[in-house]
Amino acid sequence: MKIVVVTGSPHKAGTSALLADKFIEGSESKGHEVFRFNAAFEDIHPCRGCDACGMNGPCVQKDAIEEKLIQKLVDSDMIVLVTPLYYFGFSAQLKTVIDRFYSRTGSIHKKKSALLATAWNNDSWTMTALKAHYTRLCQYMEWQDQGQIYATGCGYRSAIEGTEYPVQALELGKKV
Amino acid sequence: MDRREFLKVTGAGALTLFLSGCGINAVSGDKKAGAAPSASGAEAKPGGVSNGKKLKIVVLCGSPHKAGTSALLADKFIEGAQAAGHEVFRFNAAFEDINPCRGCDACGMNGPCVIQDAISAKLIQKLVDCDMVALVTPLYYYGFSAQIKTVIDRFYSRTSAIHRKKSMLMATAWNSSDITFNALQEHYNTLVRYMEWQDVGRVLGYGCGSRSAIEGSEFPEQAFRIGKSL
Repeated sequence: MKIVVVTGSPHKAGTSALLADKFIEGSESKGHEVFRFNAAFEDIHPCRGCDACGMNGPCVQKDAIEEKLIQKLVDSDMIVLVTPLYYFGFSAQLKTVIDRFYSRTGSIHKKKSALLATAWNNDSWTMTALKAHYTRLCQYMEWQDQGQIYATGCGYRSAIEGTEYPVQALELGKKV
Repeated sequence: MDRREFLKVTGAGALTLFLSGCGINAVSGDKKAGAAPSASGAEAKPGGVSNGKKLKIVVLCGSPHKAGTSALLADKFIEGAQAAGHEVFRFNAAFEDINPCRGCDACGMNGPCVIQDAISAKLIQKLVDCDMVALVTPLYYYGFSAQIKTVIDRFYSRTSAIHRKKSMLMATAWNSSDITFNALQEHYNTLVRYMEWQDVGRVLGYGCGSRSAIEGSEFPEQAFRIGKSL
């Protein structure tokens, strides 16, 4: 499969980055082709809602989303969203990419998908809003969810390294 | 739920608000989304939110459209709030120089942000000093627009100082199915819970994909009434 992994953390070696690393390690070991896009380290801009694309054409913004990412998303079989939980949602960096799906939204429908998320907090309601959001996205995009990892209580690298979540990400990568 | 049911449950929410005497809205699931106080809820007790005090209100707008559907809700809310004597500061995120949180933690959740942009220079102190935060967004991929989410993530540098405000949510969407705003409401409910905000109402503009669509709806009047009756 062609897999696009879109990460939303501004930390290059942070907690969600580790889940992305492990997922990619697992999926590449099974022969899948992975393209990784680290939103926080690319030149990206939010959707202007100009509708010049008509939901099916080039975006007027010639940034990394348009130049590097969007065609990869269109051509992919699977999209993996990776985010730290910021104020109970996708990070702004990842949400910027998601909003830009608009220009090719029909072509990004009907993919396989997965969600990898990490959070400092560890309450019963920590991931409720993100889960609701991802579930709604899958429904709208007609994505076939392959798995979700909600790594709560992972506020820093050593915290997540001591959990089972990196292995879960590795196994998810192997089984997709 | 259809429009009629929606109005019915928001009306029930208004009664709950009145009986409980406080606007704190517990996190609610999709089916209980209507438990939030509504426009009519605020109207049921004019001045009940402010207790006659002049409120400082920050209105955060997330749309890239200057005269779009959510902008109209912001306009109407502000018109009402100002008519009632409240002080409003409006921040149009899509038209300001803003940048996402880098997670560097230099602020320690209680200090200056290293990013010197419009959020640091114009907005953050207004948020700290305000009595109420109004979040206004178009529904983009079932969530806050990236523009307003960029601002929300930057709350981090003063997060405690932005706790315990009054708050409200205004949103517009092209879609009109009953599930349209579920994820956004879940997100807002969780924010309210975490920030210990007192939710004073929400306007959810279903089926408002164009300016003329929302102008023909009851939503602008709802926004005005909430502002007027704070």
